[in-house]
Amino acid sequence: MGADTQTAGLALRFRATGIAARRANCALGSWLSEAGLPDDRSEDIRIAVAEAVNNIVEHAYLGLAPGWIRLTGRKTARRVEICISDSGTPLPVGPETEGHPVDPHALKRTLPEGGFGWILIRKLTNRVHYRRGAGRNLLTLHFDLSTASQGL
Amino acid sequence: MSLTSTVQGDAQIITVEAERIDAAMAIQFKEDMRTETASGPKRVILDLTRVDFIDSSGLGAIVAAMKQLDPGRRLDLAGPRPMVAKVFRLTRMDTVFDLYASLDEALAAGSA
Repeated sequence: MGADTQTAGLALRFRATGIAARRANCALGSWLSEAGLPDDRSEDIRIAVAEAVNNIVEHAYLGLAPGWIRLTGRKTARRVEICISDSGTPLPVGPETEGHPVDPHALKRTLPEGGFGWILIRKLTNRVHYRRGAGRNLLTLHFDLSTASQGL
Repeated sequence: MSLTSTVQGDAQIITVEAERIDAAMAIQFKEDMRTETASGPKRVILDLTRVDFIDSSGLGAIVAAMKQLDPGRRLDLAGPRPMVAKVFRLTRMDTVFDLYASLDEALAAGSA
């Protein structure tokens, strides 16, 4: 690491396990702070990417031996772009994965314990692009640096 | 064990001794919470001061920990850092839990 330009890219390859995903998320955090992002925007990106990677670990490789996840990051003056690819089964992506906000009037005992991942991804990214091809999932998350996300 | 627990007044304070509540430790966290809250005061305060990262799995584990409490007991949250508070806000979980800025504040609210 320690590239001589502030826009040096990030390239990670790791096993689709919870522990490896955690390490990758920490590496992403270091890259974002080296790239000079303010803490709150860096948090947004780390949260959204963590959720995207969790989806791969928990869904794309469900029932399969943990495969590989490749994560690349690119920063320009205007945005950060994170590409995540894997060779698991197609990711559940689309309107049905929008996630359901919690109903504050629901009884506490009936609250869902999951399904929050896509809510966070949608709220923290400016654009999400998903493509399936050649047996791989390719998910790209775009974060504009000029505009605040809903998380700020 | 990711947690430590003390009783202060009429509240049980459970401190998360980890910097992350994420997918890698969510199941462990839920089990540790089950052990810690098997019995005790009516009010449980989860001190999140040390936690600097939470994801949706961690959030789900806190919801599960609340749901597995005996009826009549409640779970309040104290000391969330900005990142943790943000995740609660974006998922509207801040409408489900009482979040206090600090443990002292949570304790003061209980004795009021």
